[in-house]
Amino acid sequence: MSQKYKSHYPEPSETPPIDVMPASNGEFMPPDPTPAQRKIMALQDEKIEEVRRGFGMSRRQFVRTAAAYGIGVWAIDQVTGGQWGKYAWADGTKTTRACDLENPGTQLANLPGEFILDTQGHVLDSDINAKWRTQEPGFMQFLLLWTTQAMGDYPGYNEGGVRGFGAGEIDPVENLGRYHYFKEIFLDSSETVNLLTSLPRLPDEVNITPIKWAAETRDMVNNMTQSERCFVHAFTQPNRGYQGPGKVPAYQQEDFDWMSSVQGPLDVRGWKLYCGWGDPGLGAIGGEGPATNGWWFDDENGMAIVEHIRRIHAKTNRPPVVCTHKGLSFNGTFDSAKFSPRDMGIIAVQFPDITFFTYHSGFDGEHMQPYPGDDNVNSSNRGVDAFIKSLRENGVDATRFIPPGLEHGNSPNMYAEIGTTWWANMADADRATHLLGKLITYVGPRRIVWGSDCIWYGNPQPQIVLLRALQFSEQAKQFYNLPYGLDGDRWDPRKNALDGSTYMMPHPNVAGWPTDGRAHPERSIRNGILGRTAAEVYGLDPDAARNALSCDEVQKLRDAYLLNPGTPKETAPAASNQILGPRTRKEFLRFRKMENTLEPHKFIRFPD
Amino acid sequence: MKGKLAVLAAATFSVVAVSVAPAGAASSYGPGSYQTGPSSGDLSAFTHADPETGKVTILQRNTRQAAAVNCVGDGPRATLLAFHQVTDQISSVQVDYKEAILSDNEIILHVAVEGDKTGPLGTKADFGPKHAATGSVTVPLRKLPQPGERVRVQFGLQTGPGCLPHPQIGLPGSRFVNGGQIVFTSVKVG
Repeated sequence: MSQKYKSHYPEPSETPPIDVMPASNGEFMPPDPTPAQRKIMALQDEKIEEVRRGFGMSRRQFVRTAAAYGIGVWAIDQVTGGQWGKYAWADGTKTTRACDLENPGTQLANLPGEFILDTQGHVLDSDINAKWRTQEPGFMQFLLLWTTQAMGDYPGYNEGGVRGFGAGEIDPVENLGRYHYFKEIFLDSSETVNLLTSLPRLPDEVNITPIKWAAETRDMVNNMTQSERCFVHAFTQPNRGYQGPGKVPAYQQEDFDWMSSVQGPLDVRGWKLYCGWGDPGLGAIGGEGPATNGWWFDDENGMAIVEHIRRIHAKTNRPPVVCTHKGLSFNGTFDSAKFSPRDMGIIAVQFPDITFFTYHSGFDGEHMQPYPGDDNVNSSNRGVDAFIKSLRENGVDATRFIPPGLEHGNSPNMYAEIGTTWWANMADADRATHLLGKLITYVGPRRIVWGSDCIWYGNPQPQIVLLRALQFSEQAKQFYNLPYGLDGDRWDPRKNALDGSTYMMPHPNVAGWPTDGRAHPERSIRNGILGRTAAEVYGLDPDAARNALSCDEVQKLRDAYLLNPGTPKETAPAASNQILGPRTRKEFLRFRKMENTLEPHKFIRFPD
Repeated sequence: MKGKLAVLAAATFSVVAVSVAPAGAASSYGPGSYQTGPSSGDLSAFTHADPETGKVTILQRNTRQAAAVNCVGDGPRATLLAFHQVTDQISSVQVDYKEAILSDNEIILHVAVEGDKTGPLGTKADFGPKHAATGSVTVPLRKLPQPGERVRVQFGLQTGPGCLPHPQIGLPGSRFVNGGQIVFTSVKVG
C-alpha cells in the first residue's frame, strides 16, 4: 500500500521557489487562497513539469534553479499583470512559454548597476542562555506566533534522523539564529549588504538582539568577507518606566545615558524606535491607553528622544538617523494606535537636520490603490495613505519640493521603507505598482528603500526577483508621470536610465548628469530602491569591492552550533525553498489534530 | 454747531480708534460661521460634525477582528472648517473648545491650517483622555500666508481603527468602544 502522506525527511521540498499561497505558523487558520493564488500555483506546476522534463531534471532539482524562479515570475504576471503593472521579463514574449523568458533577474549574481542593501535584516541571540529567553518569555511566544520560519512545521523523527520545528531546528528559536541568518541572507540571496536592525526592548541586555551581540554578528560577517557587508541599528525608547502625562519616565535618563555609551564605540548607525512599545499593562491604568503605553513623536517623550539622538550624533561623524516602525499593528502586543504614521510629517518638520525612515511606510494590510486625495484620508489610520497624508498636511511631501525644470520632487528628510509592505503586495503586479507609484510621487524617487524583514520570512530572494522584474503598464506610466516606470533616472524620472542616448549632453536642471553616452542602470529608481538610496544616507560606497561569504565559513558556524551543548543536533536542507506551516483549512485542522498524537512527524501537505 | 462738534468728535474718535488698533488684529469665527469638513470611517465608526453648534462626535466599536499582524479598518474622523481671508499678517491660529470628553490617549484633537496659495501652514494635535475639559490648541504658522490668500482651518477629532484582542496571544487589544465629543467655541486667526 502506498504511503498516504510523504514524510518530511530526508527529501527537500518540491515546492516552487515563488510560493504565493497563504501560510500559517500553526496557530491560526490560514485564509482561503484566492482564485488568483490558486491559478498562479497551478500555472507554475504545469510549467515546471513541462520545462524540467525538457531539461532532463527531477522536479526536486529543477525548483532550485533560476529557471524555476523565472516561471514563478511569469505565472504571477500571467494571472495578476494587467491594468497597472506587469512582471518583466515575463511579459510580452512571443510564445508566452515560460522557458523562453531568459530572465536574468532570477539569478543570484547582481545585475548591472545593482547594489542591494536590505535595510531590514533581523536575527536574534538564540543562545539557550540568552537573558531574553528567561526574562522576556512573552517575546518568544510573539516570535513563534508570527514567524513561520521559527514554528511553521512540527518536529518529528524518520529513518534519516530528527527534524525540528519550522526551518528544522528542535529548538524553534534557533531557526531565527545566526546560522540561518547567514545562510538565507548571505548565501541564498543576492543581497550585497544587510542592515541588521532590531526589535524592542530595554534594558538592552534582555533585548532579543542585544547591541553587543548584534555588533559581534556584524563583525563576524565583515571579518569573514573582509569587506563591509553588514552594519547595525540599536533599539531604543523614551518611555520606559511610564509615570503618567507630564512626568519624565523613570528610566528615560538611564536609557539615554546607555544610548550615549554605545553609539560611538559599537558604531550604531541608526536608532530603531517603536512608538507602540511601552510598559506592558501600565496603559490600562487610569485610562491612559490600551495594552501598553506607547508614545507619539509630537508628545514630550517623542521630542525628547529625537533631541537626544541629535545631541549624541553631533559628537560622532555619523549622521543622525531615526528609523521607526509605523503600520503593522500587532494588536494586543503593542499599543497599535501609536503605529499610525500621523506624526511622521510633524517630526520631519520639527527636525529638518535628521533623516527619518518610516518602516513599512505605515502599511497595515490594506488593499493597495492610488492615493485617494487628502480629504478622503484620516492621518490617524494606519496605512500607506495615512503616511502620505501626514507628509502632505505638514507640507513635507515630495510634490512641494519639485526643483525648477523637473516634474518630480523628494521629501527633504523623510524616507519610505517597504519591508513586509513589498512582501505583502508583490504577488499582485497591480497592487505592487500602486504601492511604488504613489510612494515615488509623494515621498520621492530618491526616498524609497527596500527591506526584507527576513529572517522572519525565511529567504529574501523571491522579493528581490520580483522587485527586479516589476514594470509599469502604459496606464500606470501616464497616471504616475513615470514614462519609464522604475527604469527612470532617479534625478529625473522622465529620462530612461537604461538608454545611452539619455546621457549624451548635460541636463539643464540636474547637476552631475553623465554625458558619456552610456546607459546608467545604477541611476534607475529600481536600483535606488534596491539599495543605492539607502547607501547615500548611511554613507556607504555602493561600488566598493565586497567579497562573498563562502559556504565553508557558514558551515563552520553551523558546526560550532552543533557542538553547542544544550542545543540538539539537527539537519536542515541546503536550501529551504519552502514556506512552512499549514496552507489550507484542511491542513490546519490536520495539523492541530496531530498535536494530540504520537506521530506529529507524519504531518505534511495533502497530495491534492 | 452741536452737530458739527459731534461729527468732529466722532471723526477724532475713529482716527484714534484706528490708530490704536493693532495691525493684523485677530479675527474670530464661531459656531454658525463654520462649515462641515471632511469626515470618514468604516462601518464600525460613527461620526458627526455640526457647524451650527460646533459640536463634533466620533465613536467606534472595535470589534474588527485582528489578523496575526494587521488590524485593518478606517477609524472615525469628523471635522469642521473655518475660512479666513488674509488682509493683515497672521502668525498663529487658536482653536478654543469646551466640554471635551475624549475616552483615551489615542483620540486626537487635530487642527490643520492651509493657505490656498502657500499650502500647508501648520498642524497641531492634542490628546485624550479628557473629561469635560475646556482649553485651546494653538498652531504657530511656520509659513506666513500672503495678503489676499484664503486660509482654511480644519479642526476636529480623529482616531485610527481598533481591533478585538489578538486571538492567540490573548493580551488586551483595543478598547471595545472608544471615541470623543467636543464643542469648538471659536477659531481665532491672528
